[in-house]
Amino acid sequence: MFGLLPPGLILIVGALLLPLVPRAARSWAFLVPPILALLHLSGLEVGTQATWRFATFDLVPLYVDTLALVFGWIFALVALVAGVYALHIRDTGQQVSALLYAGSGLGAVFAGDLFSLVFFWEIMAFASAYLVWARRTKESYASAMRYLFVHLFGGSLLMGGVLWHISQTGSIAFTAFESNWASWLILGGFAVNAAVIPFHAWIADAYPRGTITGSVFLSAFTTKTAVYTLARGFPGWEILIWAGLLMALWGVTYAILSNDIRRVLAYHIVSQVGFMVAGIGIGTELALQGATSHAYTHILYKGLLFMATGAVIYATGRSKMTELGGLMRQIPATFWFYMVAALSISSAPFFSGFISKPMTISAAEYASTPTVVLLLHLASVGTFLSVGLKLPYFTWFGEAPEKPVKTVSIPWNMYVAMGIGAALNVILGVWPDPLYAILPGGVPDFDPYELKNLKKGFQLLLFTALAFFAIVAFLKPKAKIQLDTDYFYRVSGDAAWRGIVVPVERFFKWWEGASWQAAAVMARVGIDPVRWIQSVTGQTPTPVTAPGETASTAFRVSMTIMMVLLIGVLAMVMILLVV
Amino acid sequence: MQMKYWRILFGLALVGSLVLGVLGDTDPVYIWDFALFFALFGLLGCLFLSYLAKGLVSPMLDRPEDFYAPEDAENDWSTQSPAAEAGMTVEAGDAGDPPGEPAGHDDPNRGEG
Repeated sequence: MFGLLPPGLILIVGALLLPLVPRAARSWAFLVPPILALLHLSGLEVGTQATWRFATFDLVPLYVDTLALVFGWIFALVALVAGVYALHIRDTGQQVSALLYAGSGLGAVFAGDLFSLVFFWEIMAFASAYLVWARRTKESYASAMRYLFVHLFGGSLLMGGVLWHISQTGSIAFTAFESNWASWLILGGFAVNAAVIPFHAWIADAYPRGTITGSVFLSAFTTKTAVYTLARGFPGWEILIWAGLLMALWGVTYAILSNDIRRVLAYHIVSQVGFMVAGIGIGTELALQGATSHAYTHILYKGLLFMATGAVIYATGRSKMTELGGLMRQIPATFWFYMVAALSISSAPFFSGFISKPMTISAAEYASTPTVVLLLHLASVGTFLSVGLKLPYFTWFGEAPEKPVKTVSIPWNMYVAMGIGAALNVILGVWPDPLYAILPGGVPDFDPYELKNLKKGFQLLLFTALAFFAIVAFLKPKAKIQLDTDYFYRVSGDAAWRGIVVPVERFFKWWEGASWQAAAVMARVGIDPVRWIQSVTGQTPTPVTAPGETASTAFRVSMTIMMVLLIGVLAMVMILLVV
Repeated sequence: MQMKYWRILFGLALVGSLVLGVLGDTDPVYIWDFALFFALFGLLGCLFLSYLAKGLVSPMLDRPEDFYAPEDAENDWSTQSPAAEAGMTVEAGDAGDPPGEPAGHDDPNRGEG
């Protein structure tokens, strides 16, 4: 239908055309590009490639293999479901940026060369920042700026690494990298978007501050595009195993402490992406299949988690567990939708996470150390504790604040989108074959419904729940934030502003004032130097013979020339000093 | 369903998972192959992580919500939620009922942002 057009461009062109659609139909028109992209994907075959000549390079904006197709399918699908969730909004800026963001994410996963990748990568950064900005509060403006700076830093690392790589190899093809300095720079760029510790704090800073619908999109594309690029560029790099483990445990620890419901989820993106990064680091076929399938299911359940928590915020105007509680009476449906996603992220049997996360851990059992396996299981316990138990308990069941939470009705389209998301999570959980069939390397050598996996799944979750109910009072949320690595750039950024920008600004302000005063004095002297000298030396001014005439013309001219020369010499001295 | 039935159901599920543990392969290779390993791991893992987070990390890293900027603690959802827009989130000591019927969720001209 679209020939060799990169699927991402369908969404990007759709974003550019969207403002031309009548306002009332714009939300519905939003759904058209993702549907067209899905249709286009259904016709793309593995091995398809498009080459565009640009300057002296052969760009490959479309390179289809199984890895790209898995990500392509889920990106287009989630863009469609999130579009349904956002049907009630009338904010053209958000709609355009969401489509641009999804389109650039889709563009990045089908990019066969590094220039195309960087191009889509940078659009993604700007389009996604707008979804935080669009909340239009002081905190979201500041957060979006920080988000943008962090991603520009990551983009710069990536661009620097790409240019260095091209200068070394002469190739712009995006394939697995050898270990050298250029590759490490590229890895750094990918690590920023994958939220690898210590580059992860942007996620907990920005995602809870995005718009209700914007954060659903945010949860899907940036980190998963990075997972895709890591899987393509750095499979089997051992450092990624430890980076992934650190992410998995760091994320759950902060999630247990967080008070804002969407910050809990944001930290869990760090944790879940940690599983994927560790899988890529292990690098065996099963581990890569585990990481890929976990990225797929993660997009489904994380989108649903952000939809359900977004619905809570919409209905109550609150986002902190300390201000929520007892919502089961008012908005019970959101609880059930949330729990489908929470059980999915916790890898409960019959839910989507169960077909993917245990695959990664199983790969670790075969190809890594017992320490890695046990730490991944520990992170799974933390996931269920914070997302599956603590958050729903203190939001829907815990004690309501001093005044009961009042709610407004939630738009029908939000329910429909949550329903679709929940259905997909359950269907995939009980019937993983369609996903397994499209994984790189063919159907994986893994059966989630083997007895030993069921045993693990049920015991781990049920006894975690038992411990939670025993210590639930100890886990009561507090109205606090926790310092994270963003402390260093937020505090140092503030100090840099006060220590460098403010003094420089003050100096220039003072210099400007001094210049104006000097000019004023010069003007007074230049008009009548004789009178000025007489007034300074206390002599009686010479009588004025005619209006404006004070002395001989020769004297005035000579004095004026002298002053001009003096100013000229001073200016030259200043220039020489500065240079 | 009443709470006591939920508790009975939960207890049965716990017992069921233990029974499931002793079924199947009884020739352990790794520590996690033992029948009740994951029951113990879930229980102790939950207690360990709770202590790690609330007992060790929290006292060191907790800060007030306005630590970085006063607006961070405001938690203003008025551009996103009709409930917040209608003043329904005003804290205790406010004037009681929200001012007027909350509108916006059914107002086609109202954007989120």
